[in-house]
Amino acid sequence: MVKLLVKDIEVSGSPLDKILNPRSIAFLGGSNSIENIGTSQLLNIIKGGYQGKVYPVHPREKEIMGLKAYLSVTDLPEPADVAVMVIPNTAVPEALEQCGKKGIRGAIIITAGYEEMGPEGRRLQDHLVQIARKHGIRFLGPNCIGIINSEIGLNTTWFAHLYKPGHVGIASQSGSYVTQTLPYFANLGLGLSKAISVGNQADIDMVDCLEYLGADPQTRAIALYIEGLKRPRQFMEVARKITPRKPVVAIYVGGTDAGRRASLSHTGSISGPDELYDGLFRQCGILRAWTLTDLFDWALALAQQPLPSNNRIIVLSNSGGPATSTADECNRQGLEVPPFDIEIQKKIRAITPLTASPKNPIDITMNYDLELIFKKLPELTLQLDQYDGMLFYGIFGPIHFEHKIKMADRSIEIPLDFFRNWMLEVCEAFVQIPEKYRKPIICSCFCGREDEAVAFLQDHGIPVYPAPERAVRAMAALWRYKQIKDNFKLSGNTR
Amino acid sequence: MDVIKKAIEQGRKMLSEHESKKLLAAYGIPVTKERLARNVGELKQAASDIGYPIVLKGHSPSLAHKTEKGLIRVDIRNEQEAIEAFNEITENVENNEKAVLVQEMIKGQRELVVGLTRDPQFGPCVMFGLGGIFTEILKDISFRVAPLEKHDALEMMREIKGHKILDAVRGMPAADIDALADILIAVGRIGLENDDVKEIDINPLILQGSKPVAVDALVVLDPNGA
Repeated sequence: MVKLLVKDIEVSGSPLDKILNPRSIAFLGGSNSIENIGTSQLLNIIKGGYQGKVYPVHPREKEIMGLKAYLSVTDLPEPADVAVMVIPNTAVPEALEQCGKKGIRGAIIITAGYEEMGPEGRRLQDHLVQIARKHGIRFLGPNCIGIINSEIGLNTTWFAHLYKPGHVGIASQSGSYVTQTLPYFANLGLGLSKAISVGNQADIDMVDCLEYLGADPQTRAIALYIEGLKRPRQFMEVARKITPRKPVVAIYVGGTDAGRRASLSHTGSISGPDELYDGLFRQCGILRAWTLTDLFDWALALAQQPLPSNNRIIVLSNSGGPATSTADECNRQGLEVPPFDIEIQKKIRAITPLTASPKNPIDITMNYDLELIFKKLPELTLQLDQYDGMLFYGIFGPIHFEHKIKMADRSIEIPLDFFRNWMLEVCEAFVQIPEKYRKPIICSCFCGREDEAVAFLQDHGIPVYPAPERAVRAMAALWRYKQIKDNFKLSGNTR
Repeated sequence: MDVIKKAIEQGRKMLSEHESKKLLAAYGIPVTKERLARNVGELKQAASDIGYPIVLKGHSPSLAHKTEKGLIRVDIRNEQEAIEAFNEITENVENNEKAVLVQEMIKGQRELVVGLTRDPQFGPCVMFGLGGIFTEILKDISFRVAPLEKHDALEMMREIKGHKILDAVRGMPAADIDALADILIAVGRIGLENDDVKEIDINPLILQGSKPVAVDALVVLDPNGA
């Protein structure tokens, strides 16, 4: 866990500055009992690497998890930068008032039971907004799970898992996608920069989040989960300023048949929200993902790899099936796998086994020549001007030999250390290749991070996905974003 | 716009085809040459001015979907056919509303649709797609939020699955893409500049050779809209 000092960063004058980079946090709703949902979140804050001050607030406890507890925010030695509330919704208005009077200007209201419940909840929510406006408080929520800022080791959400800091920034209307996904991200090697759960967007909304992530230098690709936009025109304005230089992938749900209404015109009756959002995203240069898998897969690749200049891809594999699957999916995704010139094929033949296929896909078939697949062939092919990127299948690391050592039980000699060192050496060179040629490499492998080689590649910026088609789709997303960027340049981007 | 004001004063929710086309024409959208004829005399004059073959459509503000009511006669080649058609059509119409729209017949196999819808969140949105009677079935459509710029219009046309129909195919010339783009932009402007306009259907927009012409149009009003 990387521990950084709390920084006094003002990214953009955004209401999220203090909420994502608080020097101090007042936490309302945790206790010494794990039965309390808030306790887990408080635990995450205290033990997750955050270096700022934490003030637990509790009506009875004097001490919580080793920290001095306060009866109310009024008793704090200083106004905290943000108050996190996991208290019953009957208690929130009073707590918010007290925050206001104390000078606390930021809040994260985790508590649910508001607009999402219906008109009565809506009124409660409006009341909160009233109180907040009165005191100049900006708040996230209600009905959200909070935030993650990996730069300062702050995680206010429920799940503890924090992979290393990375460059994917998330803003989501579902809390689960910024907390329950953490183990999934860890397995995928997806590092987060910041993650924001917007909840009901009573105050701070998706537009604010997009603006923040767009301005945040640590965030290189933005992933959005949207169920409905409160300020669609401002969203478009903000998005169009960001997408020419930073990729945004979004998933929109909630509009297939739900929004259709009876209409006197054909146009009216076939204009469902889904089609409109489609047009809107395209107009803004946002890539639309249709599944959550795609959303995060694409954001990961966009955050890590250079964009291809065109759509001509090299498929390199140590097995025929995955090679074919990859090439097949390429054709469905608007990518081409053009055969190599005879001259190049000759050069490939010269260094590959007899059983290998040199055309593109290159299938070297199973063998232990690590340098061949990780070094010689990538270098030989990626330097060619007629190719723009590589899809790679053929990672296998020390774990496979560990299995065999167990089985062999000393009856065969297996130099595991030698193999491990050799693998690491080759991988170290391999991960430099995209930067060297300014061309993307994306891998697939049916093993996860239990294979050290997979973990190494993921940790050094090369995405490794669990199936060939996912790697292809991610490469196609890179190509689509390149075209979006080019379109902006062509149209002069005078917005 | 006057046509809109008048309709609202009369408490109507839609403009007639003729009125709708006047609105489109005011924004530079190419429409069919057409005239209203209230009797045989006017019919003959209109037909002769426009030139055969013509199309006759029953004309009344309350007739929204004419194919369903059998009130269209196409490919009328001479005066006799015109008079017959006129009588057939006006047989089913109230006396004080007897009128037909006399329209030039546009020959073209490629039918497109251009529309406008006013979304409660996004405001006026322009639609483009493959048109004709299969629009609702195939739904090969794309949208953009108004105001549209030229590249928005060009991009949205390329997005439909059937976009190749706009190329030179089957002996037909390529569509005038710039003219199409102008139409899309203009429809967006109508929505932005007229809060009372709720929806627009231009269906079909027929390619006569390379040139798009609005052959039928419907404008739906909502005086409370904005």
